[in-house]
Amino acid sequence: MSVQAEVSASWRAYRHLIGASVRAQMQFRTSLFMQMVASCALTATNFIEVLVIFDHLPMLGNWSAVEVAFLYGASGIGFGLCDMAIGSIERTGELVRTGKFDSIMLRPVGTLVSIAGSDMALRRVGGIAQAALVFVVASARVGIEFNVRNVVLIVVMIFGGTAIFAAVFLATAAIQFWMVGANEIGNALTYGGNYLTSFPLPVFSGWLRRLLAYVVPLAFCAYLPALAILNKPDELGIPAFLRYASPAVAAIVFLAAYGFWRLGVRHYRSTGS
Amino acid sequence: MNVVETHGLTKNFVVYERNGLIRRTREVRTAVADVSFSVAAGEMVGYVGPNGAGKSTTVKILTGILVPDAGTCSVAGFVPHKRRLELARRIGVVFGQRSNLWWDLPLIESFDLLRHLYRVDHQKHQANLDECVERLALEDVLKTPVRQLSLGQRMRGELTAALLHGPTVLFLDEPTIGLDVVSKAAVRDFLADLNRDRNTTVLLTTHDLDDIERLCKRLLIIDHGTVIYDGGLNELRDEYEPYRTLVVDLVTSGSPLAIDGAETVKVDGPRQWLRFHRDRYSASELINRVGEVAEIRDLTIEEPDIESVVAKIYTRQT
Ligand SMILES: Nc1ncnc2c1ncn2[C@@H]1O[C@H](COP(=O)(O)OP(=O)(O)O)[C@@H](O)[C@H]1O
Ligand SMILES: [Mg+2]
Repeated sequence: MSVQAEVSASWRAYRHLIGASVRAQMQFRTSLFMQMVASCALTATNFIEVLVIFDHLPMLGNWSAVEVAFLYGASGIGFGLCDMAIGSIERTGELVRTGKFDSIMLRPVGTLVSIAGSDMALRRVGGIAQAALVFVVASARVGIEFNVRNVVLIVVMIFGGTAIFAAVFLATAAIQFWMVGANEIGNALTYGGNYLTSFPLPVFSGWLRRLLAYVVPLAFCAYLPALAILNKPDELGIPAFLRYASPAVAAIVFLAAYGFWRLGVRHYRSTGS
Repeated sequence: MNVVETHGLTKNFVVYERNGLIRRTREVRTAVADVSFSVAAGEMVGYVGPNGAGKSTTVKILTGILVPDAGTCSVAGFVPHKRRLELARRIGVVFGQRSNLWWDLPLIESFDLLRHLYRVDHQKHQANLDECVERLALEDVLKTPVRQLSLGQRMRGELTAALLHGPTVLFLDEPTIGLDVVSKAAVRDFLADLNRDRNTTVLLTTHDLDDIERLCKRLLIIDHGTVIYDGGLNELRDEYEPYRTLVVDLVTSGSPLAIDGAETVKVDGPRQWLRFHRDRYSASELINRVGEVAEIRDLTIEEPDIESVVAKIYTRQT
């Protein structure tokens, strides 16, 4: 099969799996609705927290509240989309521990597609809606022009963020083939990562900045592309071209994480029964 | 042509045993050791062994779930762990203790989803589905969510799910485990028909020897990871349990029959049990001999049951 045919087959399989998972969740409509509300409320508290912290951090003089809201909104949408699309790979550890990953491996569909499509978290719609609301309001107030350049950069920022978060999700899920209990570390990296990306990079201490810019490149999810959109100077001396590098960075880290995932699948040893 | 072939297949598991709070000892457990066999197209082979013998591990290697540590294998022309996705279209797999269905969806929706995942042509899918639904009597539960099915119903659903894409090989790992007598019989009949009508190759793993007796002419016995017997069911009996028993109902009660080369092991009124070696007498010869000394009203021949034969093999091994 050509790469293109393979991708389109995977995409179709993913769509069918998602459809099934949505239908399954629709059986419990009320509970789904409650979860959406809860997800919305949870991200809203995060936002308030960011604002409160912001209020108390004088070193953020360079950033206005509405700019921080812009950053928060962009990273929240990117993260929410990613979480909804492939968040169910968090289940990897449990599937490995119980041996249910066997069934995933018996299908004529890639393991990643199979797991990612297995349990789409519809409840995340709540969180995404909240982040989108913040983002729309902040964009309107932050004083940017909605020309082609900025719209393209915004789209690139959000989907680049989605892909980078996806790489983090994937890598942390892959670890669980070796360390079944690593779920908590995974959560710390994914949800914690989202929390970090809500802040402008300069608030962090030196080593964490470098980690986020060059190692686990979460700075590319929102901060760096936002500098380009908001036309802000960077006080950290990060090379200017990196503001536009998030698609490339996203592609690299995603492929690396996928390679790591494949290695994990090969390492899978099922369970005795 | 051989559909399944293995040479020197070996799989080790590293297990850590915790002794104390932090200390743990590393132990290598060999689940499958140097297993070689082949299965021809259209054969139905029983893969038998006690718990922990290595049956499931073998099946997992053959279906591409596990990578073997040594040895080679091919299934339907593919090396399983290298060509897992292509292989998946050509095999059907049922693990008695796992599910390939969607828990919260009605059974029919699982089937429909599988059609899309396997990209099976609509007509072929419908034909296969109709056939399975009819033979496995699933009509009434098609709209029931899988989580509400009984074990027997779910197992029949799993079988259907494994067959919808028309696989050439079927791997069944303990498909009758936990089923009641009726469900067991339904599954067995279905498998027998499938093998006969479609020439589907079947590797049936079980520790229920009734399954084997009903379905398989050939038998592989595995113990402690090694194949210790590969041959016909009848040959196995001949080799390990050559004695059969003739049960005769005589017209009159009397003293035990004394026939040269046969041992009268039990007498109950007019009924007597004669144990004889299959090399010494054929059944009809012995019946004639009995007929010469007494008048027979009725008779049956008891073959040794396979359970005791296999038990004998296991104990001989250890
Ligand atoms: N994933 C695993 N990790 C560790 N040990 C395993 C694993 N799978 C199987 N084993 C061990 O390998 C041996 C064979 O197991 P298995 O193939 O499941 O046996 P069977 O199916 O014949 O009952 C057993 O000793 C079992 O404990
Ligand atoms: Mg087993």
